[in-house]
Amino acid sequence: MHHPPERPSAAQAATPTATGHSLSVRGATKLYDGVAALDNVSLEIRRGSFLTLLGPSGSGKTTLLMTIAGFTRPDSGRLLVDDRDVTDLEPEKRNFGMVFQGYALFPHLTVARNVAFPLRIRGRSRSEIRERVQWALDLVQLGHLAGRYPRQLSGGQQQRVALARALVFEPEVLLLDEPLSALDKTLRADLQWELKDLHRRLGMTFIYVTHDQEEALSMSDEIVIIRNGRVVQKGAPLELYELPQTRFVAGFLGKSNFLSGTVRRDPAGRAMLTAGSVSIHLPDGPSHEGDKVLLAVRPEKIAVAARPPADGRNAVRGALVDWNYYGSTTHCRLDTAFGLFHAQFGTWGSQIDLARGRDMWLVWPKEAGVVVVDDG
Amino acid sequence: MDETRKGPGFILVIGAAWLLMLFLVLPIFVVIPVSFSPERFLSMPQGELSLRHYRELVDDPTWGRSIRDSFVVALAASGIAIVLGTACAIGCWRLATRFTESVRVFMLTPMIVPPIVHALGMHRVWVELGLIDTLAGLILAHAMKGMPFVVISVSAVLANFDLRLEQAARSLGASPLTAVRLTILPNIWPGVLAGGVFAFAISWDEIVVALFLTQRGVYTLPRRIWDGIQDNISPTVAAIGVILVLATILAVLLKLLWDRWLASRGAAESL
Amino acid sequence: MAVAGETVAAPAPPRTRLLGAERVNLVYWALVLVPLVVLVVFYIYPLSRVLLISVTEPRLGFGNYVRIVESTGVRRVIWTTTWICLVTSTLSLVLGYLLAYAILHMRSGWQTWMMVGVLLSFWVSILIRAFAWITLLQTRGLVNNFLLDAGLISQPLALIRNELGVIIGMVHYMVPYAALPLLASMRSIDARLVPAARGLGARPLQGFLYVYLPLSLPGIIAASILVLIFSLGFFVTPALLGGGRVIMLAEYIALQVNETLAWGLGTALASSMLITVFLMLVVLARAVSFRRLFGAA
Repeated sequence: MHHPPERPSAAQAATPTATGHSLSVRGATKLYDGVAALDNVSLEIRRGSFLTLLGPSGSGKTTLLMTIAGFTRPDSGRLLVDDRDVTDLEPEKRNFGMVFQGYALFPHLTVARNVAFPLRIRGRSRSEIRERVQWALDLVQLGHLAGRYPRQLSGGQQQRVALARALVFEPEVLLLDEPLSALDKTLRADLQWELKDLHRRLGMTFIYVTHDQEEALSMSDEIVIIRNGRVVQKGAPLELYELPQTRFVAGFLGKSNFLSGTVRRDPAGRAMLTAGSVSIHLPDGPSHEGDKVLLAVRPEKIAVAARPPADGRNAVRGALVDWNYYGSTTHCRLDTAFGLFHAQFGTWGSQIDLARGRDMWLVWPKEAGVVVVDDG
Repeated sequence: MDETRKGPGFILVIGAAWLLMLFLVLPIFVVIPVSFSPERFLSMPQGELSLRHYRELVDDPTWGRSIRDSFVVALAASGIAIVLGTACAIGCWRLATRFTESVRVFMLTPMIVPPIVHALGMHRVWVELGLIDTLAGLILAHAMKGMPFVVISVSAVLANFDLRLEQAARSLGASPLTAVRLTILPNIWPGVLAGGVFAFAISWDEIVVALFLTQRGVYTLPRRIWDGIQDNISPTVAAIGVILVLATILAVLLKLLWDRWLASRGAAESL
Repeated sequence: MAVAGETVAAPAPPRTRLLGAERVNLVYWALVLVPLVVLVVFYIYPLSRVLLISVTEPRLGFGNYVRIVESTGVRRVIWTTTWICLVTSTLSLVLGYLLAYAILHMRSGWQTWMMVGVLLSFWVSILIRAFAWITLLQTRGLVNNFLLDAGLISQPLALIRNELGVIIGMVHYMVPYAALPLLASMRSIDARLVPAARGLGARPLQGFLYVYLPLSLPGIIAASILVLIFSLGFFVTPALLGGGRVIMLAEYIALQVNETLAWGLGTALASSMLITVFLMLVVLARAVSFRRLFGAA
């Protein structure tokens, strides 16, 4: 078993002086034409944490965010902010900031007036509005574009305006609905750093929706994986990546190879996964002889070798189907007794001689495998 | 996605809209009871119903004649409007210069000028051309009025039409006119038809120009109705009104079905 | 090609291609120019004759225009036309806006029925509608009979042959003309913007006033100018429901030409109407570019 490296946990990140609020969703259910978009979802969101709702499209993650924002009414369930029930509050009374997908900037207002909008609505004084707008625009480094109209801005700049507008009135929680999905890859990476930095500086609670697993892994304190309207698993990024509980999580968050078989004991009493004539060591943990078991192994934890290993590591033989060179890494596909296997290794320093059709050995330590529930 | 509570203001707006709808639609249907009145004068039937005003429509030859004249004029005028309007829209779309953009706007003039103004001018010119009180004269005038609607609806369809289809036809050996006939026309006919229907309806209901350009030789339905209202508000107008209202309802329902069909066709194609 | 025999031996491909392109353009230019010439001859020329007559009959000069300014009768007609137009346009616009907004935001099952209603009232013959209103509003019409029978009034109310009747009939005609362009412009408003405003703290009415209304402003300007232009030249409804007592400009021009054969004054009034309409269109053109200002994004 890998030991998670030392890393500030979410609880530590949220300093005692955090201005954020905690939020809890209790048993939220929402049906559309008899189909559950949300199926009894419960969540606790710690104050000041950066929580990401991750799932494939149609999983219900946006419905959940819209329920939190107040635009969707749950058929049942409650929403609490610091133990205050806000389920029946209209969206404008919740005091949540929201960055919409596609930004929803007001096209008839300048950048400054877009950002001033929530303050104007709240009847703040002219001088206060000027001050706060300046603060918010400086926060996203757009002070020099205050007089422009949204259509005169690039996608990244529009995104920042939307962010400034959602932050300017010091909301209790910031909701972000796929805020980076419309941007190109490099810009997205830059803004990921910025958003994370902003979150640390403001200490506010962020709830972030995305379908991009890398984005979720890199930014969040906690990820909630949603599928078919249900929470499948939640936890810190490292925990989810290293210890997925189900086949879906193992396959959706990163890539995995799956081996299915039956639990047997070897003469030394160690638990093995056997399928046909092949036996694989299972990682430590409870297992009963005769149980059906599914093992997930990450491609980057598999070494590709020309010969079977001499030590007791796991090895599966496979014929090399083809490989892709990605510069820093090389990915190969091999045909094995468990089906098509993916393996990935650093290109630099690799001594392996790749040739199509050649028999190779896929080798990994038993701790690299994770037993997961087969949820299809 | 937005399921925020609809406040009392919203409910008030919807309620007001329904009241407004009643104001728009109900008065039109008043012609139905009046048309069945047994009296010679305009009145609501009191118990007894009669078809005498419908019989009047058949017995009085001026009604039949006016319907025939209106039909001939509207059909011919919309035909001319379709040919000229479609040609203009295609040419402007394909050339797409600053000049043709102005031409396209210029072609809309007859839609905007108050009818009384062009009625005066046409009267003078038609007298000189000997077109006064002739079918040809009224057809020509109505064709001018119908053309803008064809230009608009065909241009709207062409705006979504891929220029490369025409270029593909040309690269495969079609002459310019063949390319228009084989690639453009089969794709824009819904717009042509819609514009033509509009032009037909405009002519069918036109009265101001008809009052100035025709006397006894050409007698369109709107002029017959106009005279019917002027002369003691004859209830026969109610009878023709019922027929026209029913025809309009039929046309509106057909249009809705037509829109659905077009939409479903579009959806099927995009699959 | 009318090229001399000896040069044919060496055909220049680029040149023939150019000629081909020119021939294509010729076909398309014909498609544009034929309708244009027809329009100019049979429409624009008659219009120009109106302008010409106004300064040549009965004698050369601007005498007819001086008469417009000086005659109290003409001034009264212009005044009547102006205020009826303004009242009608304002009412039609407010009602059309309400209708368009409601249609766009009501349940989709109801939307279809609303659209049937709007299209029906848009398409039913203008003469039949005027006739229907006469039936309803005349002295012994349905409305007066109902009110008398109900004991609400003892004398029939004067509902037609006055400004009230003309305005009722004109508003009835103009509401769809206001609603349809407004509907088109409201459809182009991004549906997420009002929810976004509410997410930022706006109450429903604030969301409407600060976001929806300003975004629908180009549509309002376009619809109001359209309605103003149409009501300015309105002939049928004022003539029938005004019953000779309320005379608006279009009917007055017809009377000048048909009854008193005063073509000079009639065409001068018509020309003034034409110029007013085109001035309004200039304003409209500005409004459309205004729409382009924040159309995208």
